Amino acid sequence: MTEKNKELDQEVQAFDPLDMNNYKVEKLPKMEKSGFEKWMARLGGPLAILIFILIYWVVDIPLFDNLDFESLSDKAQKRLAVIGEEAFIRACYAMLAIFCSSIVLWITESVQSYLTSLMVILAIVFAVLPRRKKLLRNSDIR
Amino acid sequence: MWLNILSFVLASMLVKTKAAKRFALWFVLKFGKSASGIFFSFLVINVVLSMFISATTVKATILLPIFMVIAAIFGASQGERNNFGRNLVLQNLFQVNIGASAFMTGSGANLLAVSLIMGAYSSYSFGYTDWLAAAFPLAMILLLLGWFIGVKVIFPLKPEEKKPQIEGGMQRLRSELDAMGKMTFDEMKSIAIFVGVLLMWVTGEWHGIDETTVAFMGAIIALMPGIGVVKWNDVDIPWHLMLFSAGAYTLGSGLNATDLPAIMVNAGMNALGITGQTPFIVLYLLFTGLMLFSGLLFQSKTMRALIFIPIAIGVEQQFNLPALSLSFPVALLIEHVYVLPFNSKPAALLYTTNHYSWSDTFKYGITMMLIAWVMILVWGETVLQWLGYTP
Repeated sequence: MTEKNKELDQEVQAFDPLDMNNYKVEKLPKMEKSGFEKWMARLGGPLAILIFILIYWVVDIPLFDNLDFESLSDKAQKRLAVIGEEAFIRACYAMLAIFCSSIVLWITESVQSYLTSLMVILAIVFAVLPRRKKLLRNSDIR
Repeated sequence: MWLNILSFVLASMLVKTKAAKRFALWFVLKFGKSASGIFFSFLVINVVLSMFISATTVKATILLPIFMVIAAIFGASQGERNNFGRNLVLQNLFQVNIGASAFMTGSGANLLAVSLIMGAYSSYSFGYTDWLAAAFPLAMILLLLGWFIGVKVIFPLKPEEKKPQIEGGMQRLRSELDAMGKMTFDEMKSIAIFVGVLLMWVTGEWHGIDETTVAFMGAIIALMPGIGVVKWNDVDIPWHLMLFSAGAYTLGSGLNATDLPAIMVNAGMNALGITGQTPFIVLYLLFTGLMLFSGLLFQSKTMRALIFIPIAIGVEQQFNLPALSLSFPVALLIEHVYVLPFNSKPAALLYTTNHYSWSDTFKYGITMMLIAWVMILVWGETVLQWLGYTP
């Protein structure tokens, strides 16, 4: 019997199925990503960027451009009053772009989920929230 | 977010002091005298742990060594599969998830759903007991059906599978429990703190202190030097999941602020020919079905909540439906992520135990998912109506 076979034989004999320590999470086999999942992860990043660019800068969405502001919820109306109609429409484009691209990143796991979340927060700060300068200008405070 | 984080602080008490492991071992040894007794023991253990531990993966990790040893005692081990093993592991997977659906704090995704709903309906009062009243009985019925479907229909036990195959096997679990020694003062304190928090959550409508504030109180006591049970380094908060949730919450707030779900829903419903004249039952079927079966494709409960809850809220507001008539039933279906190994972390973890195949988990999972759909329809016509959610 070779050394390797002896070692394997000893391992099998040594395994005690009634020992709870044998079933710790670290000892279980890890599930590897399938080929399809690996491809999804590679494509996810570029796809998310493309979706963001298309929605935010390229595509015209009549639903937003011809928005009926009267039908908005109270919360949205309050935001509209602060930032104005043009900025509100851009915010809608931004939110849709951020939403769609983040879903792609989360599904494809192109980057870790928490990193996608951090990018979402940053994107919302830049693309959706009004700049402090603009708010100060709007309220005529110098 | 705070409730999410603090739930992990509180759950860490039970894990660090091993109170959760002691309870699980004690219960299964006391009541698991037969195959049925074992299955029912895990059902109860999962429900109790779901009250205290807000992460399904943590519960699965605690119980995994225990049910793996029991499966081995009943002849399923190291690649040797039998229907006892299939039932034990798949039912634990089901129970880990459905147990979480019974409680608002059962999972971070439940908390996100409630946050999204309360963000849209800020004047509406909805708390721990509101969720419990509707979700707990539904979860218990599903868990019992899960046992019946598994043991009697899909993976019926052969007579030899109902008896231990290893002489004195349960005695090894008894040795594990004995090796833990007597219950320590820290374990008693952790249980006392958690029971106190739970009682405060359940009686929230009477004393008026919201769930997050109660969790703060519990966490402060748990971490207090001299009085508490855990130090900061003992607290096992999965910060990557907290950051993930934070992004989801922020996205939800942004969607609320721009009314985007309502705008998109309006357009989508017009395109599908769904109007205010569409019977409520059609919308109910559509959204509960979408939520349930999306669990087959997605890996993240948080994401499914983030997508479907705002859409359901948008439809409620667009068609002047009662608040929560769609969004709450949809929220009750978040935890149905047990069909395929990639549907959730516990599903992936338990698949690696090698007690069942993809087709086993699909057969059992899709059957339970269809039963859950029927149950949520029944619930919509009965309990949810009586509680004033559905018309």
